[in-house]
Amino acid sequence: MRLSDEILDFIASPVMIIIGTRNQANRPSIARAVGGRAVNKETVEVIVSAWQWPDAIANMAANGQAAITFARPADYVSYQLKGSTQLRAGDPADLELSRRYRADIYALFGGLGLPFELVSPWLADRELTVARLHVREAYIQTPGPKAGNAADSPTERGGG
Amino acid sequence: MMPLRDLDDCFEGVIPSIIATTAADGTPNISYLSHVVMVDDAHIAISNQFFAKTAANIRANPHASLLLVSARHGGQYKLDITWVSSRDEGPLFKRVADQLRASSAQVGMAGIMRLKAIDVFRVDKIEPVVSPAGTDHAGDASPAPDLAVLGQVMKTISAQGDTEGVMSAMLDGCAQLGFPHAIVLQSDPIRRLLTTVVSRGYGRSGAGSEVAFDEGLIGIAAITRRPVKVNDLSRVRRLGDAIEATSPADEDRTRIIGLPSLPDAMSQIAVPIMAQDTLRGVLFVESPERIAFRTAHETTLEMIASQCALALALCEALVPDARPSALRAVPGQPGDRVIHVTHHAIDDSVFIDNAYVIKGVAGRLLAYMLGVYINEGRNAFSNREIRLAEALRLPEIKDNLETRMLLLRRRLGEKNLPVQLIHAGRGQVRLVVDGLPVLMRAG
Repeated sequence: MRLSDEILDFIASPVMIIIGTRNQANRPSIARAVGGRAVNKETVEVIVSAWQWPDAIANMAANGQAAITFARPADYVSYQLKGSTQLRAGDPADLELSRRYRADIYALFGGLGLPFELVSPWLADRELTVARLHVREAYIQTPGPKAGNAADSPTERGGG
Repeated sequence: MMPLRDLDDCFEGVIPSIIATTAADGTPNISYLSHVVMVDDAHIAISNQFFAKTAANIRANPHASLLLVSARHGGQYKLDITWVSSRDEGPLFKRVADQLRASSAQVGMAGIMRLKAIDVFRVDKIEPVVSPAGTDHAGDASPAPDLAVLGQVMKTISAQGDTEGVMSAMLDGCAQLGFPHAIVLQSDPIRRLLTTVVSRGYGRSGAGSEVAFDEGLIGIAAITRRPVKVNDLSRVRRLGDAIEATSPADEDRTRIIGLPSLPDAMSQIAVPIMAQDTLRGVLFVESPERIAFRTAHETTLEMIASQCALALALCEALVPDARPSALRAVPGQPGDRVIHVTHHAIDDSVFIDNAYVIKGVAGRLLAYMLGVYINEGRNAFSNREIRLAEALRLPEIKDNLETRMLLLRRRLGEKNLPVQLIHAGRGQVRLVVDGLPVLMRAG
């Protein structure tokens, strides 16, 4: 599906990124990403430390299924995208994107009163791997009455 | 498996937890959680007000994954969990609902985040997530208060023979345990509010300031009768901000005394003071530290509050059964300045020389004693006499008269008025008046 410009811009801004995957037995697993970008209106990429989140990487390598939530800490505005992923090793442009992302996130949490030491365990930069998500579904996930609504249709529910 | 209780600072609601589930067709779903509660060492509960998909998924596939984050050091923990039940009533549901209500009240969203149900999960596995910071936090349980210090505090409280001694010992105890900013409030079930009696660690005592039942942490602790806390106030509206701004001139106009507050507080806890299943008051403690009140601190403050509740009940019960003091001429030569005292019947508020003093039962007590002083020239009063005084029409004060007298005494002292109340032995007080009081009754 095609994402709105609003969501594409949101993904590339300093927002927290979390990923849900699952193994062959349908057991879910959680990971965080350290940077994201829109490739085009239907495809986004997020950067994940395979060192910190080996289960999620193994799951995506095995079945590609992923749900990715982007959430802005200051006001909890959140979107969840679902679809299938392909993995590739991070290149220098990805490493640079991730470096800038981490600097932005440290600054953002610093402004909210959370010190560097508290935030650093969430932002590993080892073995950075890129997961490219072909978006099949998009949902609003901001807490409130619209949580779970499809991002492009106010009636369909299924992503909360 | 490491015990869940070692992760207690993950449950403070400071750093959001994350839950991942899958639909029957294998599509994952991931969302932040507003609330995760430790039920026991093997179970957790989540409140899931908004996210229908998570609720639907766990009914299709009960296996879920949870990521918890330590509010103290940021360390992350992966939990494999299995959904076991959903509850919309019972003690556990109520506990979670009360805690949610407290946090909602603190962020100005009281009544908006109404809890419908909680989902309870069994914890199958807990594993720390490797951290680039390299710190291994396994087995790094939260520091606990010193038992020897707590033991000494409990002994000191039980050794006290009067209300003021008990309350001072409680505030001293909080300070010895590392919490020098504390307020003790007395419950008034008839007016459904709490009144500040004593405090420690603030610029002014705030004696006589009031908090309605259900208002903020203090009010919610009173009506739910369980401790409620907020451990990261960096982004929420602080209790008392609005009323802290009031000046003595505002007090005279509004008849409202501001609750003392710590401007840079980061953590706050309100603990009910209970004896024989009756609420006597609330102990409110705050700290400039983040995550100051962990589970062990909460338990410690509960122990101090219950010791205090028993000691206060004993002080009231064991007040000497003396007859009212003999009529005594007012000693010394008071000043000859006229002191204008006004007692408003509508709310029992008392003004001295146009300055607001107090209202409610304490106001009625003050007006009564001043009336006796003016009409009979007597300045000594016993609690027994006051309990029996028909003019006071005070059935509700019999249980905590000593506390009310203490609060009145503190308030008069703080306002530096020409009318003061001093402790004159157990169950006795003396009115010290520097001038010639004239009492006016108003509507």
